Amino acid sequence: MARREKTDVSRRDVVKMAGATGLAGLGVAGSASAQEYPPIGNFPIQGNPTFGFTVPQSGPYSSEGQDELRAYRMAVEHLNNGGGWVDNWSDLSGNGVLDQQIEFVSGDTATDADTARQTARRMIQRDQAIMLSGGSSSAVAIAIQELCQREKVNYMCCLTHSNDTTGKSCVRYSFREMFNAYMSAQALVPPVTNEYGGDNNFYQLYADYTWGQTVQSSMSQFFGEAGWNEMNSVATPLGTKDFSSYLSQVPRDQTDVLFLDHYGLDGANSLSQAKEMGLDEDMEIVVPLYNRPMAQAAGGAIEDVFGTVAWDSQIDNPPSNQFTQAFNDRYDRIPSGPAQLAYAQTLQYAAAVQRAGTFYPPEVIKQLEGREYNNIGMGQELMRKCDHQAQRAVPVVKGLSESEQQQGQFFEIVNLTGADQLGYSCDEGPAGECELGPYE
Amino acid sequence: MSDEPTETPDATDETGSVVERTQRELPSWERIRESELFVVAATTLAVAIFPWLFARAPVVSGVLQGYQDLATLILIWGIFAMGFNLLLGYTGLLSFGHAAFWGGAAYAAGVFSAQVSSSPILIILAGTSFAALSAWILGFISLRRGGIYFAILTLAFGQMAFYMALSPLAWITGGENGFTGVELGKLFGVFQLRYPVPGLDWLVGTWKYVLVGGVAVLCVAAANRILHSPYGMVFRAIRENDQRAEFVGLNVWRYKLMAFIISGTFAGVAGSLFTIYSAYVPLSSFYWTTSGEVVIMAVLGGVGSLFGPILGAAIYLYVENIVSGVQQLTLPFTGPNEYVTLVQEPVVLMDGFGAYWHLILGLVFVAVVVLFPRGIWGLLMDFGSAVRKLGGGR
Repeated sequence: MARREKTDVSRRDVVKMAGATGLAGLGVAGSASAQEYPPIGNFPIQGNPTFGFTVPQSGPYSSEGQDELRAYRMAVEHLNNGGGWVDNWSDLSGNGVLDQQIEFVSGDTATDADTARQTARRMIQRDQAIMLSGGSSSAVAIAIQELCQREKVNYMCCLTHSNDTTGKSCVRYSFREMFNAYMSAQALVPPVTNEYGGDNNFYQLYADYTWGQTVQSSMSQFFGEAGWNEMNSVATPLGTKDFSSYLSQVPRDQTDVLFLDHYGLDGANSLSQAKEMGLDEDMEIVVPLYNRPMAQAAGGAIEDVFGTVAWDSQIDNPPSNQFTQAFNDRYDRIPSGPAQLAYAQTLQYAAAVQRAGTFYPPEVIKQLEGREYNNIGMGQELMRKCDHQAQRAVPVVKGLSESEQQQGQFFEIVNLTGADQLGYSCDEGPAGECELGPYE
Repeated sequence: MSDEPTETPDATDETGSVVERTQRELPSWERIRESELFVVAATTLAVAIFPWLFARAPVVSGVLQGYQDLATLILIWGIFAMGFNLLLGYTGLLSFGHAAFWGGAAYAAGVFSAQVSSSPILIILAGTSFAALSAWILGFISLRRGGIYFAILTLAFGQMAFYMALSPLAWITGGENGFTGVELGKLFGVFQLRYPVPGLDWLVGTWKYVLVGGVAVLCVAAANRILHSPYGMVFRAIRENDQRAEFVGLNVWRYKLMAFIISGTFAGVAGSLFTIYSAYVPLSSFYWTTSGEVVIMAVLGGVGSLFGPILGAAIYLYVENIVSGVQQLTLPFTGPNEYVTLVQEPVVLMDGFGAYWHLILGLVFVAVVVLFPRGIWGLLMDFGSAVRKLGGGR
């Protein structure tokens, strides 16, 4: 096992400093001069700054973890040595962050909140990570971001789509670039109602945890408002392998559209099984959130199925193309949506540190809050201060038939719904339930 | 701790003259080792230096790669495994449903903290009482049958608890999301749990560890007292032959129920501490894998010894949390940041080593069960007595 000398010193010191902070009270923070911030969380950093990446390497969402980790590794390489977006972002130098070389550690979340928290604790305590980032699964993201708020460590969400992440479970130390179920529903309504008509009966199956529950409620709300009639919605446990008993309950003669609110392997399974049972002959199917491994696993079953994706390599603008190119050069494969999120979130954090001139977490948070940017290929965006939710475009896609699918391309982009047509104000929707908590 | 209290100096010594001498002079090592005061004092000492050794000591912690919170977690699971062992190792009953008590206490503690009081002591009391009560009810039903039927019944109750928490009671438990509203107040109204202990932070770290460590010492003392009382003797008699115990005139069923309740209570203490530790209750605490993990821990460390299961818990959690995070398996003393560096470039034996942690744990488990039936603690005890024999032997 590799030993790291620095941790012996730093761990002890941090405990001491945490003690000093605790005893002296946290009130002195505001009066400190710009250069000398009080110790908080893993600040000040001993040795090189370390990022911690928590990705699913086992469990129902494991297919995504590998691609996320590739992107994280590439992000750190670019931060340290230049390349990719780092060359274009004026905030970043390509020579580390604040001239310090970045190190990183990674760990498995097993798509399980408890395991993820253990992994995150190890990164915060032993590896002294100054920033954590990771996905997928909203339950995992919510569990880790709550821990990060307690431990005062920045968290950059990767793939988490539940309304609660920046809704009732939001925290000050976490930021989300990914859109949520609420915005997915808003983006899906126009093209789907346009295609299938304005008066349909729909039926939902949803994964029974924070993400699936908020997808279910958002779909009900927005398609209900569009004049559709929800017949029923049925919860399925996360990690279900066989959906046939749930699918056979769907009334074929009355249902016009079936929503499968599943993700990862669950999504691939439920969609393939719905096709096998011939449900697509009697009704249309919508998968509110797609990803590429899921489309790959479902194969031809995704033909003509509507959904939204985090990002896709077909989105044609300079940042997207540059990222696809860099990723392809590095790994010889087309990046998936979560990979783009992972890369973007790591760089966003690093850029905020550069602007703040320090790793001191509250200052970094202030740099991220209210930031307007247009450099990750999703149009003009705003990282909202009130709920730390990025206001950004949502790509709506439609699955390609098996013969049209190529390596890394499984859907066509129907619409890149702009940020101006989506979203909600700070006092309505999920944001209305959000209380971010303290900076310090 | 040896599980054979009959092993007095008289039995181990060979000649009568030696026996007389030892009895007249200082009490022998064997006798000191058995005394309650020694057990509690040694446990206190071990609990006090453990986090330092594991997370902060020079060289040792560098090799172990430990961290403070894992030390806390090891003690919590240690309490759970020790209580479980009272049932498996001493009374001879294999329960596969202890997740119900661990998880039940964790949720009860969580809900209590959010609704009633955030005092850590009261939270532990609430969670423990809930577990003891549920152990009484489940034990009352499950103990009607013995052997495999008992194991399956407890498993069934454990899984029932899981599904209750998953769906019908999701409005309390938070379902798949877990219970997130845990509120934690100050210990005795004075000490914030996450703050370091002034003056002793280098040794024990935070107040949270002091609380968990204190409870762990109390639990060891209680378990030790129970096992060395006539009550504990009856447990062992039941393990050896429950029909004989019945014929002697003991109410075997009642003793079994009591062993089940005591064991469930320990699980409850551990479950409540887990809520305080993580400030969150995951649904997986009710899942059957939790029951399975505690069985593995007990067997790994050594059933039938007081401290074996705690050691088993430490090894299990170490593999789960530290070994699983090892990216590259490198030869020692190669690469930068070593205490002694032979080669600058690390010699990588295996990439992505940590992903195989389940396999590693499985191999360790098989090796222990096949080679050391008394577990790793039994192995250490045998080794210790061999060394003593070698040192004092004529």
